[in-house]
Amino acid sequence: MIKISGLSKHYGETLALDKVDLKIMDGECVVLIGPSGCGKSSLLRSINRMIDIDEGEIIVAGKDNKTYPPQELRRKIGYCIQNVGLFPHYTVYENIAVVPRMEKWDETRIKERVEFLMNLTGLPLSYLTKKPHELSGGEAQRVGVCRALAADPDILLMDEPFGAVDPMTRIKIQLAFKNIQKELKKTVVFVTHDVEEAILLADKLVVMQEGKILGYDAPEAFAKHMEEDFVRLFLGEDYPVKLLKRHGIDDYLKQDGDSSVTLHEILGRLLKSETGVVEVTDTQNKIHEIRFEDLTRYLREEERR
Amino acid sequence: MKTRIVNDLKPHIMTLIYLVLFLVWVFGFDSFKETLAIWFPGRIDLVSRTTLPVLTLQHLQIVLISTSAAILVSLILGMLVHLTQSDELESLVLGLANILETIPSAAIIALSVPLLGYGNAPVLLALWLYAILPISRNVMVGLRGVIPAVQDAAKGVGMTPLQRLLKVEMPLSRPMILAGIKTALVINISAATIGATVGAGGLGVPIIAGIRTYDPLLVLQGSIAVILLALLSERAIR
Repeated sequence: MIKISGLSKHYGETLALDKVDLKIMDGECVVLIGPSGCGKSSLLRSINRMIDIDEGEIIVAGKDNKTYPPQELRRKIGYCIQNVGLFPHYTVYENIAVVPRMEKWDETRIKERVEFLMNLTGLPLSYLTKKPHELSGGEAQRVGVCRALAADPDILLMDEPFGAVDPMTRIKIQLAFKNIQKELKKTVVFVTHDVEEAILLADKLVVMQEGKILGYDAPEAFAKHMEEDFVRLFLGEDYPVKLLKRHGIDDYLKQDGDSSVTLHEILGRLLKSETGVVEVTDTQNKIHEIRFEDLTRYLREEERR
Repeated sequence: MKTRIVNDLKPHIMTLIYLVLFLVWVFGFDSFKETLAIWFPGRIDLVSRTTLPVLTLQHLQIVLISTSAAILVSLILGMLVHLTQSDELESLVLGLANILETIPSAAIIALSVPLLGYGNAPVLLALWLYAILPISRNVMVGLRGVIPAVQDAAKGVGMTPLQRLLKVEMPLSRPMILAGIKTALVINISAATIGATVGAGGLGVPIIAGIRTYDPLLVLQGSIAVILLALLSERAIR
């Protein structure tokens, strides 16, 4: 668990963080979202002491993070940034192995770990000897994720990690990350300014403005924070529509399936249909009818959960 | 296979050409000085008492000793200044080095004669001081020029400042540092010729003697060798 209390940070005259309190549970992916300069990056970077805070405390794994030597703290926490920052003179393998080597793992264990991570992120093992400049933007970001996960940290900090790639690659890498997270259950703090990315990945969503937290909840339960003008403005009046992207048809039918169809697409089909009904088949080949009301009801139920 | 060897050699062709020209000039000068004397009338019998290979060796000795000492000092200086993370200190050091650079090398040589006497010592001092600026400037600029995302990542994965310097910043600023060394070396190869005025050896000896005795052949003997040596080292370091 990460427990942040009374956190303040000034940059000269400007107040970047204003007495922030936040509790992040183990195994949850918490997405900090807000406009540029709202303090989300400062909040993330204060967790592994990339920046020093002025007031307040951050408890990481039961201890105030000021009591750790900063390098030791950073090695225990995975760190992934927007421009990836792979070391250009190292191969992919050496990049991923950086932290395990500093932690003095033996080389066979490092090799196993690196290969495991390459498989996990969907990178071919032949890439291990490549240099970063030979990778595409999406591949480099996957390597960045591998490097952050290399020493198997419990906590992962990700500062707009999928920012600098084209939309197609972006959605692919987001889905890949969602699956990885489902498998590894890390405690993730994720910063983005992209609402759809936040909705897709978050277990909990944190909306920030001017150094303050305006709302902290599961994405489905955000309706109650919508009274706040800024939250409504930032997430958009179409927030429930965006929310539908989070839910696959399998969730709706309460079945174990591997369909990639989301309720967002069902909504699209509904809007096109003349009858106002869309028919879907479940894994038992039973036909279900979905109407607009069904989607409304589904979102209400999810909100109450 | 054959084309690969050719391709591998291609970047070194100019280096090889300069090397051959240089060696031919230094070791073959005696055999074609009489032919040259037809165009550059000089007193062939007077053409330098010390032979050209010996002068070259003296020249190289002066240049290499002063430049390597400067490399050593500049690397240590640059890294220490970088580790302090202080912009003020960096501009102070660069400012001081810039002032040093505005003093003509001839003046430093002349001024150090009363202290160090005639011979190689004042020249070594001048060239050493002179090489510190281009090298240390490039060390500092190179270390600072590492892409911010890479620096952030190096810090974020938990490297200490020293680890960041040795594992990330130094390797990445290598081209910049080499460029500084190259500049310093080429400057020193040509500046070392002035040493002959205060009794140092080297390729400046025939040049200065030639100017004093109005002997173009003597001037040519030293200066062509210096030019080829400068071109050669400019090409060879990469």
